Amino acid sequence: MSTESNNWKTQLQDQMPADWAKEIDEFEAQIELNKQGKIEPRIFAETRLRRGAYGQRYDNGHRNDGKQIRKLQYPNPTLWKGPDTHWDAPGMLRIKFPWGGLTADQMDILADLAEEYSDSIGHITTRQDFQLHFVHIEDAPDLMRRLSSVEITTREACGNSVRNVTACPLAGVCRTESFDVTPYSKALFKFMLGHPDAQDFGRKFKVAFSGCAGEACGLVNMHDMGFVAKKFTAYGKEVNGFDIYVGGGLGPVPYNAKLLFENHPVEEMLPVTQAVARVFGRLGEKKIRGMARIKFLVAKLGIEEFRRLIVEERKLLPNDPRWTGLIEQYLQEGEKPSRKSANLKASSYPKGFLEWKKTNAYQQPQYGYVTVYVKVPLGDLTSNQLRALAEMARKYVKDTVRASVEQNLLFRWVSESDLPAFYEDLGAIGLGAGGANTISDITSCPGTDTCKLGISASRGLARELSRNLDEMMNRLPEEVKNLKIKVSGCPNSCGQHHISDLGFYGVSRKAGSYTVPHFQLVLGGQWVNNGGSYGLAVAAVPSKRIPETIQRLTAKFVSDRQKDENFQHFVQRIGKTEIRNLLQDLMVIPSHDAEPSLYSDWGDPREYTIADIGKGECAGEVVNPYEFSVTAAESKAFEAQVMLDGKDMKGAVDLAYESMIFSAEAVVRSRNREYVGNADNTVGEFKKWFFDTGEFVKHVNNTQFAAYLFKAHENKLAHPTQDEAHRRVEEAQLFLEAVHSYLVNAAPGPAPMPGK
Amino acid sequence: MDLRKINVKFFTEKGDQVPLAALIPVFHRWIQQDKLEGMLIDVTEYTHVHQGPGLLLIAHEANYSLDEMDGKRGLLYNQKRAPEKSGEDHLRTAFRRALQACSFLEKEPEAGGKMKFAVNHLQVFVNDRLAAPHHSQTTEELERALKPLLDSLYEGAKYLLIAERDPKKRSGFEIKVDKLFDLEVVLKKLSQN
Repeated sequence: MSTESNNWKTQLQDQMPADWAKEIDEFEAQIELNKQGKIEPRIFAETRLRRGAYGQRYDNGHRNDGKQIRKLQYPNPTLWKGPDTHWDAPGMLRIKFPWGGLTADQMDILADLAEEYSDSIGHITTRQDFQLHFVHIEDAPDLMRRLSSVEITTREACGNSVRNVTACPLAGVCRTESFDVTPYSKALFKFMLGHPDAQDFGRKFKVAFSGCAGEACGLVNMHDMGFVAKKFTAYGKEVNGFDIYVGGGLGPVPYNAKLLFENHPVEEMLPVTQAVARVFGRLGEKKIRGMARIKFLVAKLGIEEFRRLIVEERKLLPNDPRWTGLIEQYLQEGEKPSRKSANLKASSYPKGFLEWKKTNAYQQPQYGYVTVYVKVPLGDLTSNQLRALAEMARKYVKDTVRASVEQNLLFRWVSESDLPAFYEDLGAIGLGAGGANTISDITSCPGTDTCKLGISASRGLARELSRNLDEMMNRLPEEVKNLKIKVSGCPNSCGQHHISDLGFYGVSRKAGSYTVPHFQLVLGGQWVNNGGSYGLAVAAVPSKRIPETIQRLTAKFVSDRQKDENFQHFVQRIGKTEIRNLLQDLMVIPSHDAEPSLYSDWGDPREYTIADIGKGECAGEVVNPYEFSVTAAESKAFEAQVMLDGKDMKGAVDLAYESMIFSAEAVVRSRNREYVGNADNTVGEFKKWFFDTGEFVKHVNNTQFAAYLFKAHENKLAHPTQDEAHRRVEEAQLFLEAVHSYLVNAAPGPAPMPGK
Repeated sequence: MDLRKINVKFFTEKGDQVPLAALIPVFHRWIQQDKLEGMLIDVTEYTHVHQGPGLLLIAHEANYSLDEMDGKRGLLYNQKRAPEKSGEDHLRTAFRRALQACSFLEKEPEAGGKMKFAVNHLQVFVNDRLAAPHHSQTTEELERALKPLLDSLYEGAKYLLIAERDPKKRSGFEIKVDKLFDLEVVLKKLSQN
């Protein structure tokens, strides 16, 4: 499109930071070299990931069209942008917005780019990023240049790097914070971007800031590294500091972050981060991807040993003036309102205004100002909406807009007297809906819409639930209105299902020769206290029956709830057995003829399969003893959860282990119907014939799940802590899910194997 | 003028009440049947978004969508890259492909005879702010490029070109033709010449 003289590089050369411009030029050169076959696809994949250019569903060239797996005939069939990733396949570009901060000019640029290179939609992620989908890799450099011209980078938005630094979107206007964490999150972002000590990680590294311990906004507990603002007394003086956490994370098996340092001075924030990066880079797992996050290193070493290593590393660091210089620089910036504060005047308000204000306006501690939550359906904004929001920012608040991890936008420093006009302006662009932070404000990852790993249609489900709940919002009891729903398309937790009242993640189940989309229900997670505790899987229910599942659970909550009991305590009190009984009939899959709608997913009429994300499905009506093993594994996994609820940690761990053995036995029996053996034999057979050969991994696309089995077999945990038991039960459930995937993708039946 | 990223949207004459979700199976079926020119990839739905891209059929060269931007439903042909092996000019290709999709859609059972496109009311714009920056020279060039095609398609009719005034939006025109034209007749003209 561009010519020598008329291209974005020339047009914007004076508007981009020189180092960013140079990096984009280098990336463009790498694209050229890759096209000439001079870079290995594997190397180019990591290169583009570190620039924020991700793969997208069907980029392997296979797609289920509803009748068959169709080969997508991309124009350059021999050109690749990664292993098994077609050059011409649409991809996703992730754009970092540190601490979620957005200026009006940035929103304008996002709007233009969404139109010109994507599908006219800017999507807010659960980590305060924006994503553009269906982007061609060759458009990426110009897209990056235009972003760079308004101080946005995609650098290290993906790949094994320090990802977007998130922060509470209320920082600076929050009623419960110790102090504003914004300058510190800015300093950390700037310091770690491209830092040499952060270039050799085995996996990604996510950092979050929170202004207080009690609220959810920063979600520090689920991050690789997190900072909770705190005031403490040192030498008789009140000073600002942080409680520093490390080793948290969601993913298939969630880990609670551990306290690394308490009451740590703010000036030590950057050197400590640097020391953690060095230790993680040096000692973190590099070969087994599924075990490479820092949470595994912290769990393996123990927090005391990890802390010792960090203290030692800190002593070795050469002094860097930026440790304090960046903080001082950003402390100067501050944020000021653009309009005078004034109270809301009693008058006739626009229709729906007062109801909207209840859920969408947050009273700031600064007199006469509120923060407005703009509820963004599924985190999607059109280009026209983005431009209109940019104009609203200029009109009411200037550059104080922030994206939230719940995929909404916050306009801070709105003068109370402007609220009715602000509400009307929002309404004019279709964003005047109330219900922010309520049950209808559902968080969802992209799922099968665009994600390569998606198993179920998380966005389709979220869309359906939001519509239904919005319609019935006025009739819902208060205790139900305040529940949170979060949906992930697979166990990887991008939708943060572990920390919601009602969490769901996508799984599949086999029914005869068909595969049925399901969601695993996760209950008991905690949103407050920075995502303080994680829920556990209770039951897998067909996707189309999730609305009924929610209806039954919330009705039960309303009828059986004790005074002031929250949902988490309610779930703990009545127990998962009773909940499972409540849903038992919904879990039974009727035949395809009886209820064909269950065999397709939300918003997608194609007959469901996951064969286009793995190996081709060739199922048949085969009755095999492996099915008994699966049933036993399911049963043991559930019993383990019940034990966990009853605080019997040892019982939970033992049952989780039994579940894993039955799961492994199912795999072995899928090839050898007569197989009988003890636990040692089963693990041995599984390892020899399914793991070492790559057979199991090939069908589940992950080495991690089998590693759970081997770990449990080697270490049976004689005296498990609550954390360890929780994890072991999760791991058993995930191994079972992996076995389900294996049995769906690999054709059960005879195959070369001893014992036959 | 570089028109590789030309967009053409034919507005609906009727059928705005047909729920977009009901038309999702149509786009999936078109992929199964290779119904349209070019390489078709996937379907994506934005029915939860106010006045958004609606329902998209993602393709390699050009996306097709039942678009609701600016509150007006229509069939949008969004050319992203020059069609392979085409000697045709980009404008003509875009018009022909857009109208072909309109024609197919009107006949689909899910549209149930309830959906009709207005061949005499359309929008044309260049989805490239570098090639078509928002100023009068662009408008004049685009008008010059459009006129021969419009004259041949809408022979005997008068048409009005209303330039996009918002400098933040893409350069282009809303086009209103003062006579009704049959979709199939116009499509035939585009296919023959």
